[in-house]
Amino acid sequence: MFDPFTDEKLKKILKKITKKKMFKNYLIAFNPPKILKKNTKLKLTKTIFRNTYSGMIFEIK
Amino acid sequence: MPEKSNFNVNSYFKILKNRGVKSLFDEIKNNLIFDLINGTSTQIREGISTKNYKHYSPAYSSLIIESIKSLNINYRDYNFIDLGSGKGKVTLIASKFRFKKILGIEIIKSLVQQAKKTIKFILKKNGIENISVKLIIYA
Repeated sequence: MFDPFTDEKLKKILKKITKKKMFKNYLIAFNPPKILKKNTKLKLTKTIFRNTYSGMIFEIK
Repeated sequence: MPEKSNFNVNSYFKILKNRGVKSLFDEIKNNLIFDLINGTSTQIREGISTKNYKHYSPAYSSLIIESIKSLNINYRDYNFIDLGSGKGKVTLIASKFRFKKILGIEIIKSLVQQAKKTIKFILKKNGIENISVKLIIYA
């Protein structure tokens, strides 16, 4: 939820995740940083809000 | 046995004072009650935020459950990976959805050790033994 990764580390992880296209994969992020929303390989499918927290579900293209 | 629940009244007074009644109700419902039911101690924030690491804080249980449910997938076909698993709250909830494999990754060793004890105890208590739950340290 509280992301321990820096933007650079997160970019590297995202590259690895988005490479594999065997079947549909999903990414759930709680209070995600802006870098996720801007990523072109991720499609935001749903956003859930609870109080000050948010959960976003992305489909990996 | 997992460690005892570290309930702290002062932290709830702070939430009431700073964020209002609705926040307090959500914290109790999603964190305190979850801990009381499962015998865990995930509710208290731990550690200090630095440039590269932000302190441990639990996600709301209702938010986790709703997010996983909204995926509309056959859980047995999928692996579940939790980046920044902390005390293992998300991994623990995911274990109830019967994913093929569950993996939690955390950079703080003490949190991983604590989570391992808790998850082992709870899975045994609930009779969930045929699920692979692994927690590893990533440095």
